[in-house]
Amino acid sequence: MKLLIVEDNIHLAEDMQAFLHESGYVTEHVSNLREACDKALVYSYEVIILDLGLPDGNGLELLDEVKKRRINSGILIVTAKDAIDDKVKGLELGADDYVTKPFHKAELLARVKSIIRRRNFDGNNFVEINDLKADLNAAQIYVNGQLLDLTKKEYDLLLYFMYNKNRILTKESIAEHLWGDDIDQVDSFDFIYNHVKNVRKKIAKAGGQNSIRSVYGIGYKLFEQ
Amino acid sequence: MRKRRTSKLLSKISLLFLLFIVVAFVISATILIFNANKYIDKSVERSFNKKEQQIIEKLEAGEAISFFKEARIIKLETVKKDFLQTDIDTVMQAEESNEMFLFRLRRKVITVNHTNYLLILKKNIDDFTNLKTDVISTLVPVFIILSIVIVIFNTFLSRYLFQPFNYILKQMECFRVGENFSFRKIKTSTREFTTLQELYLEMINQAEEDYRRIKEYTENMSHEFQTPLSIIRNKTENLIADEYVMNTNAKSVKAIYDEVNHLSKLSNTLKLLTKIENNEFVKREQIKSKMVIEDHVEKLRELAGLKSVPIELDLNEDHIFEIDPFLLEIVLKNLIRNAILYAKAKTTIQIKTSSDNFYISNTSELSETLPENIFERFAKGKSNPSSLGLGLAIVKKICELNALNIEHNFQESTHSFSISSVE
Repeated sequence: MKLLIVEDNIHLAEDMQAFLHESGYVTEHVSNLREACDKALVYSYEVIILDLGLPDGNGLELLDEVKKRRINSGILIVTAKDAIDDKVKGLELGADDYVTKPFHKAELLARVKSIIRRRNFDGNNFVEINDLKADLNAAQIYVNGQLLDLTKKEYDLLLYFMYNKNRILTKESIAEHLWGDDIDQVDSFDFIYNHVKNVRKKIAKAGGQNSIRSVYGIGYKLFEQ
Repeated sequence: MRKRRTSKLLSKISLLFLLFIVVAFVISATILIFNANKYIDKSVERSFNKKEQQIIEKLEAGEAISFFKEARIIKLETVKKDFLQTDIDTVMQAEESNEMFLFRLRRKVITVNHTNYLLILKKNIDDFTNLKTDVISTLVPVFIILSIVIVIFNTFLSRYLFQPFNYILKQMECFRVGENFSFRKIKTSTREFTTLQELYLEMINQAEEDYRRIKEYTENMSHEFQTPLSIIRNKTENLIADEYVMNTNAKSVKAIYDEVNHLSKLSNTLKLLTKIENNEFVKREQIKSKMVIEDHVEKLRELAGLKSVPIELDLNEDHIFEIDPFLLEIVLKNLIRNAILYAKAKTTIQIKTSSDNFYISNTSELSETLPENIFERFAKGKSNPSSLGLGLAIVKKICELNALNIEHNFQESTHSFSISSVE
């Protein structure tokens, strides 16, 4: 599974590469539109992570080209937060999803995984960690084969943990994932605390083990045993 | 402040002009009358003197008094010492006709050959006074005609001469910074207007240029900030993932992380606020609010549920917001989230709409942010230091720009906001 990162900022690109590599992906990086076109049209990538603000043009041009030539790559566009028009245009042109800068890496990973999952319709869409098993097609999570009665947000939260196993998820990152990062964010940390508490309770009630740990002052982490 | 009443320059000028003419007419009429009086006096005086002279000559020649037609002469035995002469204007019947005329009578004592006579001379001055009234009765119609002429001339002025000026004014009215305004020049040979037009064009260009620069600056600032902020955030996340670092420097790393997040949100939000202020969201639509509100509440119901603050809806089918949908989303999101955040646990949040009003309320123990400054930037509650304090400022700004009136009320520990359209 190869990913193409189109990003002109070298620090950001390196960081993304390192992070995605840790998560088991092979990545390639290009820093301008021309190279991106060359690569995207020749090689096959599972997902192209496409920054729209490139030095030699708008990333939407590549998106347009990819869709025109029916190249079978998922596309995740990266936009500046305020560029609503770009976002809308991107989705209209057939991008699979978008993240806005600055994004949390955990969020990026979750979006990439979700694009890959959606592109893989026929295959088994399961994520398994410890005693947890998420059925992505049905949007349900089981503990030891027993269905958890989760609300929508609880499902999103637990899946986000599972996508980012063994990694600290900061409260900011969770808040953004669950409620989107809008203007003047409500101080949602109490809410996160409550959500996590409820999820833990439900897992415990179903006889599962508690693998979500608090990292004091920072956030939470799902350990894989 | 009350707006001062204004009136058209031309009307002002003509009014002043008329006033000036009235004054000029009054003055000239006074002078005319004064001169006429003087003339009458002089001419009567001359005629009297002439008659007097003739009479004296005749008396000296020894003619009998009864022959004098021009005047009555009475021989006097005694004369009051100080009696010299008196003049009286009086209406009398003329000798030759039955008509009444204004006469001037002069009584004078003359001495001829050591005999005293009382001389009574009279002179018809009716024509003279008629002249006076004629002058006045001419002036009034002249004044009226002049006024009419001025009014007509005015209309002509405003329609033809002032037309370029009015045109320039109209163009000025249409001007909005940042809307790519194209000024259609008007041809005129009036120098003031061409100068005005040129100066105005220069100003427009300057304003546009400044606006563009500021916009570019804010955009660049916000945009270029995001990449470095992303990098800092990612690197900090790397540190957070590093157990060794966290064991020794957790506090510092956390502080950096928090501040970077804050900065990034701040820059985004300020940029959004600037965009709103610059009127960049112009897709005004008539939006039936019921569905939109229900949609938003549905998204946040779980969040509210965590705090046990149920949201009660009482929505009117016909309530409409006339606004850019994106802006409406921001307004609703902010107000609903605000309500959830500040609501006291286990109380109810109410959202109501009537045909012309939107209302949201929550119960709260807090009121340290005074109602007067609640809409100001960075006027956040002390209890919530991590909030940006920009949410309500944005809501207020959006309302202002969309002819909506938002009011905040704090009564019996209930905060409420209501939005209605400005009449």
